[in-house]
Amino acid sequence: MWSVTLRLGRLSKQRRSDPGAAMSGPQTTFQRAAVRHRVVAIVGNPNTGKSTLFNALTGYHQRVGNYPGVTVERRTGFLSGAAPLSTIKLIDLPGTYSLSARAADEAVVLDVLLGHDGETGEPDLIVVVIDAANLGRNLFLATQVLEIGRPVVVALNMIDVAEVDGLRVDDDALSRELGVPVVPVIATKQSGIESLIRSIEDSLDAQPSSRCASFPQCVCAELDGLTTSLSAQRNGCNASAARIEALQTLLDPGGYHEERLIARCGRGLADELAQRRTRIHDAGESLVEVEARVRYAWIDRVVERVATRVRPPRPSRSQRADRVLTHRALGLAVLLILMGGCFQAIYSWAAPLMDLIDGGFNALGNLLTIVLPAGPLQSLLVNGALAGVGAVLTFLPQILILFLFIAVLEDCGYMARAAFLLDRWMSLLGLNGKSFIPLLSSFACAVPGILATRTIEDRRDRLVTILIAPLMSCSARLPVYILMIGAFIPATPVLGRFLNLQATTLLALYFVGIAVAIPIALLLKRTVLKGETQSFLMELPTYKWPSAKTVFYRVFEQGKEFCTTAGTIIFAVTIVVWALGYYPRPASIAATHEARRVAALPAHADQPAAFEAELSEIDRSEAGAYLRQSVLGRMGRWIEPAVKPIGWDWRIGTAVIAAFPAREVMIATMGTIYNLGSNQDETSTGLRDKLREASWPDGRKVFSIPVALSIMVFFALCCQCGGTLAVIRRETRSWRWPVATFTYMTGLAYLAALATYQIAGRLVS
Amino acid sequence: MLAMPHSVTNRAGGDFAEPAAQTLRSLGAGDAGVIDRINTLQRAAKRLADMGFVCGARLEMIRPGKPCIVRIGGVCVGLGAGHQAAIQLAPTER
Repeated sequence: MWSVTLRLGRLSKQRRSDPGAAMSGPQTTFQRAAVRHRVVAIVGNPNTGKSTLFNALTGYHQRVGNYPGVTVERRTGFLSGAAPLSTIKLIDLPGTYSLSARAADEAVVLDVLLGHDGETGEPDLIVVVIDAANLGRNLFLATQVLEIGRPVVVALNMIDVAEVDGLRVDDDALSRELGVPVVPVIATKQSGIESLIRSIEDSLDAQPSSRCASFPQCVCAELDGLTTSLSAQRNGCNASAARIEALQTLLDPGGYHEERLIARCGRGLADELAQRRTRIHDAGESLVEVEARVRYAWIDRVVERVATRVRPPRPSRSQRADRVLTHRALGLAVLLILMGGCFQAIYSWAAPLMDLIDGGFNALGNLLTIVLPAGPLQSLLVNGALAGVGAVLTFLPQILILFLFIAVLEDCGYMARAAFLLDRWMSLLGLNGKSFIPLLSSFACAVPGILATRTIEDRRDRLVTILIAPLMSCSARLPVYILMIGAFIPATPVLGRFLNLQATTLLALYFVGIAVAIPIALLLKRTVLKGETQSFLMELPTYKWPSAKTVFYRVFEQGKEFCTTAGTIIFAVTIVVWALGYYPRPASIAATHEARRVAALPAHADQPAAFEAELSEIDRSEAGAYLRQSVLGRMGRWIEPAVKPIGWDWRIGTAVIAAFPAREVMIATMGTIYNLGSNQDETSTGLRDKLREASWPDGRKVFSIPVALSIMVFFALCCQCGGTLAVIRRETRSWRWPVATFTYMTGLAYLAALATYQIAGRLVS
Repeated sequence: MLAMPHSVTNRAGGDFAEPAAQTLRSLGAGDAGVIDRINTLQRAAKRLADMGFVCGARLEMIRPGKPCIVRIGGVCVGLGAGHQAAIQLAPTER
């Protein structure tokens, strides 16, 4: 776990400061250390613009970290402005519809609000963000939060959207009903922020609201009893907080709060809960429904009083768009076109950037080769470190472009429709429509794709998605595809000018991954991870224009996450692979090649160009010989009998082994093995020609179409990414799943490569 | 722990089965209905309840199918087949 301090955007805090403020700049830091922070927690439903509001309040100065033991992000920041505002700490809690919890991730909100979170402590004030256009449902959480017993301020957001819909909300009336200040804001336009800040300041020391839901008598009695017994067990807890915790425990059998309390208080509590619930059931009440029924009854009356319909609702633009976008056939067509466009953009926009980065690294490598003396250090830096870092950074443009697409679609609200459309097909596999986004991201890189599975609530569905994510052909596999296709697949046209065999092969390779993922998902859902898929349940928010700031921020964060996770692993692993390929270095090889150099001198005495060429050839041959003798080379020769059936020789085997921790390494290793020196890339004609000429000891050519296909299929299905395995380990908190992923994918890859080689061999001949 | 696999409640407060109960699946596009009871496992029931699917709530079918889209409380929600079968509607409302 790490926390990343981000300093983006406006550093001019003066923009919000009071004219008479004396403190600013470096002095503020000391001031923060000296006073105790006031803490303000921000809660609200998903899709209410909570994060936009948080960003507006903190001016993008935020810290992102982790809550211990869960995967939910902790986002904190200080109120933007001069002291005393800047001593107010804001904490942005994950969007939720209710304080009930079924898993540790969901319990975070209630935990922080009750002050159970060690790092934050009890919040001094809670801001509830409410979407004015959907007042009814949003008030459910608000009524729960009001009962916690802390001062509350309600931010009535999106009043512009409500206005467009013909809905007017009387904030004064709402304030009277709720008993707390209600401040209308439009977070996206920065409107109302000043009033909100003033309201927060004023309410910090106010009396908490005394509004409380009136439950039926039988429930109240049990609730009071449970509250008393819980307060006795946990001292120093304020009465209202204990009551809301008791409520969420009592009414949610098998829920997370119950689990935790029983773990803390013992079986006695379990028995007490059972008895109380039986009494409620006997009185004719439904545990699960009573809270919703009671709250919504009150909410419906309030909404009637505070919200007026100024205009009859017309089908909004959002609804009209949905007529097409959620249509079974049309909607799917639009989705496919969008995806197609996205991938096209990735490959065309990223290419110049990738060339730039590649060129930069090559230049740096050449510089180091000149500056540093030949030897382990130079090799380590150029072939190990630079190669590793370069490998990661070369793919950054593609990954960032895919993230950009996903962030834009998510922010405007389209992603929910995509999940909706695909749910029908995904449920055939036993998956939920929500798995779509992680799997889509995995086409760029599985590391952020797997991180994106955090939104899938069901543990089994999430695991299945994680286990098949690496099968989506990521961008690191592309160089291998391009090299092999470029060298061995002819460019015969398949569909006139539009499609040729090379492009078809590339597409087919992408589909291989998807085609294999389907039966794997089905198998997992029927055996190891058996269980009913959670039925689709997702809000389809109103469409809105994506906010450039939110999108940029999101992409930046994800890019940073990728660089750190994938980068550190791949980098470390490239160093190890380098060492295995560098040592041992027998002196005999140096001696032989030195002798060749000495012999070459008289042979080309008066032809400097030919002499230079001969020297380069000797250098390359020396590098190749070293590699053969190295640990890596020996491993390759050792497994040769195992890879012969799939058409490979020891050199391919060596390169593939080297590529196991990081696919990107494959091309460079092939270059070294074929005596070309390792700044080869997939377009190097030298490498392509050398591959075409490579032959077995008996003279047969090593590479052919079946061999090329078997290599590509192997890469398509094999898990050759230390970064992916590390992230699986972190997200599933066990070694079992990364080991399982590695094993099943490698096994499948071998079998598929075998089948491809044998079948293709028979077809071609 | 009290085992209550099914949450079956009824607006009238009774517990007897009604003949030919109409579920969400029977609604066509544009039809409205009022929720009468929700027959489903606890966990799903709680989630539905939190989203506003409670006894007495009025909803409108926007796009039937698997999954479907309904509007409830001013919000459009996508509902899978499992949830649709679980939501029973009061038979006389139209």
